[in-house]
Amino acid sequence: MALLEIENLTKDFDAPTSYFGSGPKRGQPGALIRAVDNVSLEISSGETLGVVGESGCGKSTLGRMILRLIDPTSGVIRFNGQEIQNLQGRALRNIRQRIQIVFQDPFSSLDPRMRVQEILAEPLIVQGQKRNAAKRISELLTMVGLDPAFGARYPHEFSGGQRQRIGIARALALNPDLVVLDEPVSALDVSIQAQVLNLLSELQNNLGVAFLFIAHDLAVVHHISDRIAVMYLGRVIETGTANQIYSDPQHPYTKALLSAVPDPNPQKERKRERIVLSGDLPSSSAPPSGCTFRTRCWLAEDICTAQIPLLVMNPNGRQVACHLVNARSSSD
Amino acid sequence: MTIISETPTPLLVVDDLAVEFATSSGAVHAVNGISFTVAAGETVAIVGESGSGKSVSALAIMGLIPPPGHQTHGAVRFARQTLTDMPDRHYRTLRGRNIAMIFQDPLSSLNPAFRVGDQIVEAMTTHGTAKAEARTRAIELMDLVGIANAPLRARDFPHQFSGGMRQRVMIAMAIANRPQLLIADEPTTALDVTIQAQVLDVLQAAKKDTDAALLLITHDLGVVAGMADRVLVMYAGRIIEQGSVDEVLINPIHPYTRGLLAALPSLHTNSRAPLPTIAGVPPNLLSDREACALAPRCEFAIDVCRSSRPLLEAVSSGRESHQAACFRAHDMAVLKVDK
Repeated sequence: MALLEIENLTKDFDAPTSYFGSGPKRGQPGALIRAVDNVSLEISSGETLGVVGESGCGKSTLGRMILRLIDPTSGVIRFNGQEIQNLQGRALRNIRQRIQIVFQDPFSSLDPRMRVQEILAEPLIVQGQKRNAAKRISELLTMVGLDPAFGARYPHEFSGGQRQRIGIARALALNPDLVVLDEPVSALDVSIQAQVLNLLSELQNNLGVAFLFIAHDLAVVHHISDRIAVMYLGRVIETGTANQIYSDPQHPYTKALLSAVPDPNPQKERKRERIVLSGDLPSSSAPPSGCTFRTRCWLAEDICTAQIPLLVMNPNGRQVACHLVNARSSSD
Repeated sequence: MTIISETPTPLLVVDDLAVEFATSSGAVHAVNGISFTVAAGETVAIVGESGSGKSVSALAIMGLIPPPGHQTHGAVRFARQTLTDMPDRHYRTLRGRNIAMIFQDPLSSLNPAFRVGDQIVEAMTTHGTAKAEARTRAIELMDLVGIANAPLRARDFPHQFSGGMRQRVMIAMAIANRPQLLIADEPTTALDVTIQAQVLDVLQAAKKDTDAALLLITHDLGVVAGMADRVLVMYAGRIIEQGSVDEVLINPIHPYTRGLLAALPSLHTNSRAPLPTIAGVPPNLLSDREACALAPRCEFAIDVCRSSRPLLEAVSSGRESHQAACFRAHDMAVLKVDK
């Protein structure tokens, strides 16, 4: 049994109305923005599932629903076999020990008026594990590569990379089974990013914790993930192992996304085959009919307008939501 | 100081430029004596991490260092004029006409209260173009940067454009007066990767259309590899390596350049092995010690690295263009690069 199973998870937000009351009214078309549309995924214990996609694809909303920071509109979230999408009160608090989060911005996610030891004590206090907190805090600081004496300092005394280590220590304080990492290294410089990525891999090896790693940087996701899900406009359009996705992308969007990443080696960069997509991401308040990628897809046919492509499982365990790819693989 | 003279008179000459910021804890040496040239039509990239001084260098060239910063040393010469001792009034006529800048965040660089077309027009009328002519050219420019329905979109406000489209508007505005030099500070950092690819294409096309030279400031080595002819690597306010993109990115000499390249996760290999890292953190720029700024983080550091500062020198006598500031440059040249 997978550690986390999500089935047909959907989240609609009310579209923002303007100050003067114009814009769509409740119940009218365009009044809802579907941020996450029928997403089903699984994470096994100890594995890293990478979720990639561009701004507005719903990857952060997905992460927040799993943490129950946002309530899903419909769908099921099962954690260790238990449905958690409707839990409240004590039951919810119990589940929250097991699922934690690390945020993107290491500056705004730590309270500037709390000492590091207070920040790390907070989850322990909330969950009634106040006894031995001091010992646990110095253990946590050592674990993320910081001097336990730093516990008495305030967040502003640390660099971005060190703050992100504190954020990771806080997420691990309760020994969770799953940590949602929402763009954990995108605010960091390359040399610091590498340090934090190495720390995450090392922690996973030692603690057996599973990661849901949300990021827009394809190389970073490739490096850290066992399996990857690619999202576009609220839907998962392809899944596979990291190597499958990167060495043999199937969905046209995945291909375009990978081909858009410039290579730091100038010789390889000059030979890089590029698929430059035309146009912008469509608005999620009025998504295209059928396949949402068809407005930017160079292969689109009539069927792509008419029908929503389903995420179909290939014999080799990959899933692709593309009419053309799936027609080809079923005729093979 | 060394100037690489590939062309007889470079368009831009930066000579021993230094910029300090006065803070309550003392002077922060943001840029510490950098010298380089940009030839007409050439693309030069400045790369480095946060705080390396790359953006401050660009602002210094534009004469736009924000207080409490000030230039303490050196000169910037552009097309044989010395910008650094030019009166403000005079500088203003060059800025936007001969030298134009594209900033990272197009939303805060556009005025939210004015129509996009009018803002492009204003960039031209400010420098003496007649209004009617500027209007026609504004639509042409919007076409050039790939904004569909230009006559209609010109009447829209910045908030009605997406991030990628806004950056296209910024490019249109920057090339409106056919500048000889474009300075782009992290032009695609705020954009998604598929949009970045589009905007970089537009930037190349705009550069080609105007024959402008491009000074590209970025932290993304992939963008450098695709866009630049030459690259300068900055660390702690100094240039620590420079050369053609092939020289610097394929055969890097300086341990910092090597460290940066090695620390990048690759799209092609998924070894899940730990990434090579540069241990420690960048130095604070309050003290400017007579030592290599990388020495505390460098695995190759020897005694001399901690007691004196290396100069930017040719890596080998045959290759004057490739220079590194490292006492162990010759040893490093022998050590193979893994990537």
